Amino acid sequence: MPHTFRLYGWMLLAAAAVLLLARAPNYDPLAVDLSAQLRPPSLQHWFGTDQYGRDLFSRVLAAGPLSFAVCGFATLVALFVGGSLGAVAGYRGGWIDTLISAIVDSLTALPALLLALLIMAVLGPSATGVAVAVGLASAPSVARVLRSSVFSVREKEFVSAARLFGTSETTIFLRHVAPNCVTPIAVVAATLAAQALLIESALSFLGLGAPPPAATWGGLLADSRQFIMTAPWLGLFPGITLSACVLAINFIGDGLRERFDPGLQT
Amino acid sequence: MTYVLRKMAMVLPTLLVVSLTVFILIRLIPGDPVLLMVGDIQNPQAIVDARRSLGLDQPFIVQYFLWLKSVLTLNLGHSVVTGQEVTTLIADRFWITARVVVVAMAVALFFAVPAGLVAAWQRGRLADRSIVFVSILFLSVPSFWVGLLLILVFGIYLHWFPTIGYAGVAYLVLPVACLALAQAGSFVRLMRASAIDVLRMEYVTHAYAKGLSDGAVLLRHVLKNAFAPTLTFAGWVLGALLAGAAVIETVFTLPGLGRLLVDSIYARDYPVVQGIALFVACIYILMNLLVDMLYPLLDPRVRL
Amino acid sequence: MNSGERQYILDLKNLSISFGDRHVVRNASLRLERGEVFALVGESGSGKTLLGRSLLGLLPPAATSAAERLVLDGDDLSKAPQSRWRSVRGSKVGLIFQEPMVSLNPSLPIGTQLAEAMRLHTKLSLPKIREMACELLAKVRVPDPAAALHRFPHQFSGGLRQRIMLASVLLPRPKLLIADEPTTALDVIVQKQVLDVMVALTRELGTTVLLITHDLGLVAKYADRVAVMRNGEILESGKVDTILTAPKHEYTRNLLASVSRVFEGPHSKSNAPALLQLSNVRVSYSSTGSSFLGSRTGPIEALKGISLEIKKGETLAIVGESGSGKSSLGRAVLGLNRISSGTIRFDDLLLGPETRRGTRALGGQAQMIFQDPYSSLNPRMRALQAVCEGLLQDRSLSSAARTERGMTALQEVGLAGYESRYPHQLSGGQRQRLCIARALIVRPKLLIADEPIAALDATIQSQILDLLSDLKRAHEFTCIFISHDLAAVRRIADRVAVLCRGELVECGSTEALFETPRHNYTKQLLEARPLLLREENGNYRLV
Repeated sequence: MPHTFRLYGWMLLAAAAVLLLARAPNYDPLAVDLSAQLRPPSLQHWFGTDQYGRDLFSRVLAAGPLSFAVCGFATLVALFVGGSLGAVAGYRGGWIDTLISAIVDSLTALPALLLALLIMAVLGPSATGVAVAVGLASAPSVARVLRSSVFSVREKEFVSAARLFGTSETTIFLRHVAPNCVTPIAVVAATLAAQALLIESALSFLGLGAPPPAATWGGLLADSRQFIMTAPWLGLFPGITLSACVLAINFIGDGLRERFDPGLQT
Repeated sequence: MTYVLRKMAMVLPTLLVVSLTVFILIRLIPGDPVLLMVGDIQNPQAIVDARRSLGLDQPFIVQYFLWLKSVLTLNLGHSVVTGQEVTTLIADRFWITARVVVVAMAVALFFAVPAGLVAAWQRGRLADRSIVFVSILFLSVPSFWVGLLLILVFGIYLHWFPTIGYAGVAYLVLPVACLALAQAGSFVRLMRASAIDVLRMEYVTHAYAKGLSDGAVLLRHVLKNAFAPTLTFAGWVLGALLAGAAVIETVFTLPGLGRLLVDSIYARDYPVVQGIALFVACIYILMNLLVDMLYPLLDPRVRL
Repeated sequence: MNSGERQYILDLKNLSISFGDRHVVRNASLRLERGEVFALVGESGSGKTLLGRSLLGLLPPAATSAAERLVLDGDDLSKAPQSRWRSVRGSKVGLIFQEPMVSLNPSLPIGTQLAEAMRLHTKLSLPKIREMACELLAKVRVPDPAAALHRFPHQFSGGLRQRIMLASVLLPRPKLLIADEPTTALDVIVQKQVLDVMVALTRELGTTVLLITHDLGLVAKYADRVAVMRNGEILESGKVDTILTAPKHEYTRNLLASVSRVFEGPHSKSNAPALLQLSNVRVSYSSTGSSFLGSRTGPIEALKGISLEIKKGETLAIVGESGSGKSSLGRAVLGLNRISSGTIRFDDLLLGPETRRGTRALGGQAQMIFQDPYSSLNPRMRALQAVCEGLLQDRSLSSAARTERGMTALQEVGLAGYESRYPHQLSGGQRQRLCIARALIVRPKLLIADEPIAALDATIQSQILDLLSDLKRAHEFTCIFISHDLAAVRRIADRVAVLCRGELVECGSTEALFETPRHNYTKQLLEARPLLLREENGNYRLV
């Protein structure tokens, strides 16, 4: 089962990649055509048009790279910030651990969305801002996972054996601890990426995302709201695309988790 | 007794860190609330006066402690926009949000717990695969999009439920359904994972060895032990949802706490934003404390 | 046919169990007489556990099984559906197995769990059940049975929990009790208590016992008849005395030989200088879980003032049960743990409470092999890499020189050809060999082996012990052998030190200790552990 799911995930992502690179009936996503406003899906406009006559399919495609870029950057930020904090806390232990853990645990009292909202308010609307905000807001959960992962590897006997050779602590960390934390990181990264996409789209939906004309799927969904009765396709297609991508990432993450969790494998 | 005290002792530092973070972030937001308040920039004296009355002319640390002091007396300040007391604003809006969130969670748990159990029990078989597929699907779909779809189908085409604003319980059905759907996915995943762990335990084999049927084993031995981690998670989720409900409330135009938060951010309404953030954090801490109190009921190894 | 039925509680003929096309039990046949204790002996992978489970119809869903005849107390169950099995389980056949920690549901009081089987299979009232439960708990020597019924499993120790399990399983008076490694996870002295109680109680109730174990000493002491299993087949079976005097199969002979050997190597010269000297060493740990408010309970003293001398070239065994501090001692000597007071003199090096980074100070002169072959190797390193790790500290060695030494080391331990394997591709015994090679490649003066064979099968244990002896002769290092297994200690050690709860209780030559133990605790230990000895005529007897 995990293999099938992972397969679906990769397949979906591959399909998304193909679509992104494909050349649809070639419309400039920003080209306004007032003669073709709010047209339902047809052979000319696969996803229909919006209130300015812009081709929705092209807009959805164009929003893809930006959505993924924000998601990817946010994941990197979270992994870097959360990862370093977690690794230091887990490896050093002692008062550093207590301090970092106290701060991280306290920060989880502020839900990710709220934290992201606040950070966005500080940074102002911009794509980078969104990425940084989402990344920082997700960092505490990464820190937690990595801390426990490093902690458990640290207790393993091959680390003690390495110490007996007189190896320095840094070398031990690089040679033994870090490589064995890769799989939990991979799982966390997948979950993060999926969550980042969702939070980013939520922020855009609330109007606090990347400003127009740059659009992400969340932004497209926000725009579609006023036309929900007259032109439901405006909300349908960006939503399906967004969901499909998040689904794909979640499948991959779940597959990874099932595969690498010791003991879950019969 | 020490367990309880230990948990309560963590509350204070958490609150301090949270309040400090919120305070710092708010202060970093660009834009001057004084100008917004006073409106008329021509009068410098009015600006200075306003600043002094808001306490904005004091150094940072002093402002922080003054704020803390007023928080402890349950005075969260006044809204810059409407002039109302922040506490009143929060109190008004909170009940709607709370109702939606709590009911949604209950509904989600109601479906997710048995589903997770069944999935773990039937691991690898069709029932499991379908349940996992559906729960990942629920997890992946953005809640506001589900909201839009629900509005479209149930509100507009079928006319079953009202979709905008709040004037009675019927207005809460769709938002609750929307939120429950999103949460159910993650609960199922968690429940399934912990049930799988429990099913591997020797006491489960033992229960079977006594001659118990599948149903008896699942209900009497697996459920309680597998539910504990889900309960802890639920506590965390409850706190998180109070803010995350912002999105749902925007979609369904509910006058709730989340919407207030977003609107206040737009309007640079410092005190309200601060107040809500702090309030949400407190609720989260309270919820976790409650869960910690309930935990020994499920796991007697943790002594009260 | 009727008299046969009455005589045999279990008549099993040609049982086969397989997972897909992998056969794990092949044509196994058993006949258990009423009231006897029948032992089923085998190493891991022999299929003994699965055979036991099949007598309850509790095989994993992926397994398929078929038997020509499976008659339990007169009932033919060879083709029984699950519903039939459910009525038999618990009432006719009971199962008790290994881990007392998780064999009882932690969230239910033991009274409820004791009553469960009774309520399912009988129509007795709850008060009556409670009465019977108290009676049985008293028989298994659980203090204050009435109050115990309301307590939870975590409030009892491992030995008590296992005895409660026993009471729980025997309450519905099953005719057959399947005990699958019931004491493996317990300390030696506790093992004896549990087994004594089990045998006495089953004798009183007339229950037949199928004792599944890997431990031949237990078999010799407690069982009437025995069957030896390997790779899914029953090799031979018969009365215990017969098997001990005239084992027919070569495997049985190997098995008996590996557990009964005594120390054969050259004793170290008594005038050898001391390599290691411990003076009043104390080690304490702060309690686990440093909470925000500081540790709740006080520090735990693992070692309470140990003074010991280890001569160069000898093998000293440190014996004790869990909690005795033996592992802490090993780690303290190596500098892996800090000592809170006292001194350790290693050659000309002095370690004390102020020493930080003791391992650095020792500079690789002392090495350790650990108990758990799974966590002692980095899962991402191949065998050759793992072996050469110690050499990386020596900057003067070229990569080629390192590889050469690594290959030689692997050859020495019998792992030639395995250099590119990952740990998960090696068996437990092979992993332990790799650890030994890794430790010895830096030619340490001292090797500490902390329970190195506990997780391995008997025949593999024997091989590893032989390997250690050979290597010791070749490289002439001093060895500290930490173990709770007296049979292994008897085989490999010059001298033995006995630890009990952090204190040194007795220390002397192996022979003297085993023949004439002085301290009470040592006597208890020896008494509790049934050991087999090989006599001159080739027989094995229990000591």
